[in-house]
Amino acid sequence: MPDISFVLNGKETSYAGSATERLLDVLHNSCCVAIGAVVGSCVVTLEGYRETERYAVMDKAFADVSAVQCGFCTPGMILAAEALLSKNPHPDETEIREGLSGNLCRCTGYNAIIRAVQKAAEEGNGLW
Amino acid sequence: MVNGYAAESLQQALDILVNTDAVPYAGGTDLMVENRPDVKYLFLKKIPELRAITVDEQYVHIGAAVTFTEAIANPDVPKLMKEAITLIGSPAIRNAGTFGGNIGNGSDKADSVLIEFAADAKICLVSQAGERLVDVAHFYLGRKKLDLHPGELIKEILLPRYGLEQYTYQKVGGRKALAITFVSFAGVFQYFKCAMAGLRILRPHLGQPGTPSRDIRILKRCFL
Repeated sequence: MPDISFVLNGKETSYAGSATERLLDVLHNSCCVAIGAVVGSCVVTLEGYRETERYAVMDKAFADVSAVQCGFCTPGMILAAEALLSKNPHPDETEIREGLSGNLCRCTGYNAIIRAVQKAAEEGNGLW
Repeated sequence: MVNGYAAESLQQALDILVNTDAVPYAGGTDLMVENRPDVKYLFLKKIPELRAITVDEQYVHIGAAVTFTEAIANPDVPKLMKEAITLIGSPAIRNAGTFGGNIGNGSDKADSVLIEFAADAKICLVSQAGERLVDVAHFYLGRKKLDLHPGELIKEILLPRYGLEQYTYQKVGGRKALAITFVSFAGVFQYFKCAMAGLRILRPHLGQPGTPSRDIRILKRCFL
């Protein structure tokens, strides 16, 4: 049984955003997906993503700018950032805010998270 | 583990619908929040007819299981609809949420339904008896009230291809993203008539929840 502890239940409201996965190459809220709907699909959660080179860049960028406080929203923020960069490797700030929208950070650390995504895009140049 | 039935074709889906009490499931964003106990779903995302956006001379046909993200990227979907659905939820919700689900759950907060009222859209319903085409105003009768017969699925939303070019759309919600609509307004303007649809007051302290209202007045003929 794989460890999927990072797939959180966003209180079944699809609000918090922390319950996130990538499904069929697009971002989904895992608490809003019935298991029967993904039969035969490729599902990537943070557990799978953190084995990748892209994650290493994202992890370092989040750490470098202290983009993590309590950490609850971080899995959703990181997978939303990955989904954004995979479509748009060099987003501007507005595009990053739009790409991360739906992920609520109750520590209100949004600016640091946006800087982390900018840094990941710069330092991972060519990975996305 | 599989909590329902995965239909591979429209005919198979209609058979399952008649023979079981399965609940049609397209994107799941509303159904999963409802979290009905012991529910069996009828998964619709693999049915080609429900996943397509096509055009004929008069209408853009949007399949019931087309997601908002897919519609935003499609050049045939009218700009007015795109403007409204771009403000729905968040990227992850728009990646999953569908047109069929938005009207099918009978919510009075459904942003795409307001545009369907403004646009005089038609809804194509399908059952084993065949297809039935109804005006949106005759299908969506009020909160949680749909003219959906037993054994029927929502197949397509038909939006007019022409006549929606000049419009205004406003949505008021509690925040920028993940905002449930409090009040929204869509107006479509044509040269010789002004059709305004949908002042919806959705918060109890602002007024009673309601269905989109439609007011058509021929103001005057204009020649440009």
